[in-house]
Amino acid sequence: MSHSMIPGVEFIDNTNQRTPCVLVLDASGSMAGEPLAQLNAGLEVFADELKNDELAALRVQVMVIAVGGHEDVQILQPWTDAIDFQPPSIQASGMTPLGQGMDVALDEVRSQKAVYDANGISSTRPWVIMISDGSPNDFGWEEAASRCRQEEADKRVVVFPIGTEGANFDALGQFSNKTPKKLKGLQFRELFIWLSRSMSTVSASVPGDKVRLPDTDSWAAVEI
Amino acid sequence: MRFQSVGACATGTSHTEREQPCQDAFEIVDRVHGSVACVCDGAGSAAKSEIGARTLARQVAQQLSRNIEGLVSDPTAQAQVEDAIQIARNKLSSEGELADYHATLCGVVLTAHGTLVFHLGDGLIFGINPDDWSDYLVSEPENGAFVETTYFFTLPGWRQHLRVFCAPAQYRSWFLMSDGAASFAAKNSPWRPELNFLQPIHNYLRTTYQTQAEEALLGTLSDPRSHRITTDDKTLVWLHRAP
Repeated sequence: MSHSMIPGVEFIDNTNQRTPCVLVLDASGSMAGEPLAQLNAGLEVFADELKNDELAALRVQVMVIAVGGHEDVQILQPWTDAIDFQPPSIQASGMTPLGQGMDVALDEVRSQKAVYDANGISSTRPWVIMISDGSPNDFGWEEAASRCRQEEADKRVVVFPIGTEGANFDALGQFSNKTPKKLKGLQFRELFIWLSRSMSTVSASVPGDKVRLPDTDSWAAVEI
Repeated sequence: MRFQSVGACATGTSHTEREQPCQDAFEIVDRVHGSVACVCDGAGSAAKSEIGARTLARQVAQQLSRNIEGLVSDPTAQAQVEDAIQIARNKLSSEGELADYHATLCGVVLTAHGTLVFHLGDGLIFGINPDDWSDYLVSEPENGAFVETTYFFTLPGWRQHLRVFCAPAQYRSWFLMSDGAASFAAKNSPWRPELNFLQPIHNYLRTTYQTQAEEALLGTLSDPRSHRITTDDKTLVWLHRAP
């Protein structure tokens, strides 16, 4: 049914809303070769998919943190709007200090929330996606994991631990109150398509909405 | 014609695409001495929130319309608003779990002597002096730390989040809106009217017959440009009192 329109109205997007997403990526030596190639390709897909969504491109903000690599923990991509997100290329080497990486992620999430608040920007609950093929091996990682669970229980953040074949799922599972997901093979591309669609859904969500996310069948194994 | 009122509600694409009902609702009751209007936004997380929103809007507007003229100066006005909400709660709790009916509430009682404003949760209310649009009042949305959270009439501590105040008679034009409509009908930080949207609406509705005005307001809220800004339901109610 078509309706007449009131003449002269202008539609200006005043939502001023952000959906923060941090990727904590395992760049330890064991990721070298095909796993890292697929992860990097997945990041390219993630960036493209977000940019193709009109709302998500402007509302989602991305940060990328590498653990391992040439430094223990490195912010490869500081907070940026999805529309400006240029995926970094991850280089593999070193250990797997996931505890330190997640601590940095939580600190950054908290700082960014303060920036939003100071500038009158509303935001959805931040997501932290942790991807690893192994096990945290930094001193005190259990404390960081405990902090993650507490912040999740306090509804300050949502943590998604994701492991590839051979990852220590018992350890990864300690970083969240949810069960960790296991990646099918090296289907990083499918994982990042799911993530971008989930981010699109969340970025368009409204107060009080319980968001229905796309299913994870395309990339997650049923059992871990 | 001393009092005018027009309302419309457009279902958001997030609901039409899933063939879900609109979860916003509004109710307007016009009387000789004034008008009562309520805009309610049902929570997406609640199973029957469209019923909650519909029931809340209707019950509160109907209850408060019984004593429009005296309400603004009545010291028991807040208690009367609370009683009206409680009636909606009682009705719904007799039909199921209250948590299935989560909804927010924006409402006003517009009279010649002033306006009673009541607000619970998010949504937005502007009271405007139409002789000087820089002179306006705002009842802001109440959210938690993140935008996904707000407060509903169905929660145990709802009275703590109910805000009630009286506005002077100079504010003769009122806009009530759900958060979906607020995304383009209001600026934020601080909240203030988006004049490029609200002034043309005000000017048009003042001079247009009721049926045509309602259709045009619905057509405007359903414009594809609004869907590019938000996929949420969008409700806007306009009330106006001639001098």
